[in-house]
Amino acid sequence: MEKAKENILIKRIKAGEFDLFDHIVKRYQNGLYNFILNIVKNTDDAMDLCQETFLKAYRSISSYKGKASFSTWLYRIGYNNAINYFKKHKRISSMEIEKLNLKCQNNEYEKVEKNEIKKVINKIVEDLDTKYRTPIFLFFIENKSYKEIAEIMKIPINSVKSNIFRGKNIIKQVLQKNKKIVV
Amino acid sequence: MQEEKLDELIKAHFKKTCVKIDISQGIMKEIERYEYKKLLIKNSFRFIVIFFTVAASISSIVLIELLFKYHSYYLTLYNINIIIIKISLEGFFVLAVVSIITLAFKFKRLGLFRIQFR
Repeated sequence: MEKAKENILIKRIKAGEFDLFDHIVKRYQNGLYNFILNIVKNTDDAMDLCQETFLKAYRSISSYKGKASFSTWLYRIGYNNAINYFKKHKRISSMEIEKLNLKCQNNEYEKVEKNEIKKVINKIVEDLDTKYRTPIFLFFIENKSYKEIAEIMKIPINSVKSNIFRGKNIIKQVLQKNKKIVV
Repeated sequence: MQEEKLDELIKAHFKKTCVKIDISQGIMKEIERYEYKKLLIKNSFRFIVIFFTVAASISSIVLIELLFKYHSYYLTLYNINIIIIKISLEGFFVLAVVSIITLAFKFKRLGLFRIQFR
């Protein structure tokens, strides 16, 4: 959906044509769901949070001024929802680099066979801390710019860059430490 | 490991874990429910405000009538109690006017002057 078309759509929704919000939901539901799922790592909770995000977005659509793109604004709501969910359930991922490195030292990943590099990647990315995984997801899958990611996560652009770099570095380090699967 | 290859692997991981869903129907139903509730609250609020505005207007008109009727009488008497009543009546009138103006602005801001047919 082009940005101009989307802006017209949002204007019409603001004017009271709430049926048109369906287009917005259909456009962003998959991306937003996967984005939230990457943070909460639970399909049911991700579904609930995704629905809640759309409803919140609808209720506060009048406050959307168009400074950032609509998707950035929507993802920001989704991100806040996911973070609040974590705070509520006290399930903040404590998976820090040290923990990941510890796993690496314990050769947990070495159990995986040489040709199963994808499985290792999956495991490492899943274990990666949210602060690294979220910007990596937004950068690689949602094709968001550093600026947009910074707006979604409300952190400085340089932090986004360094988090992506560090996240990738962790994956790289873990892969390299595992001699069997180093390419 | 090459940077490009690592990027490809990360992308492949995320793409593999991406799931397709369809929640639009459920969300639209929720939105319809929300809109209905909003309209109901808006209409109830509108009714209450109109009712009180009309009541305030009528009572202030009646009070002004009374004020004018007994104004000269009050002044000749110089009774302190009556002066207090007079001041309070005038104060009530001023308050009524101010509240009507405030409500009118509030109406405008809430978009209640727009007629809705749903």
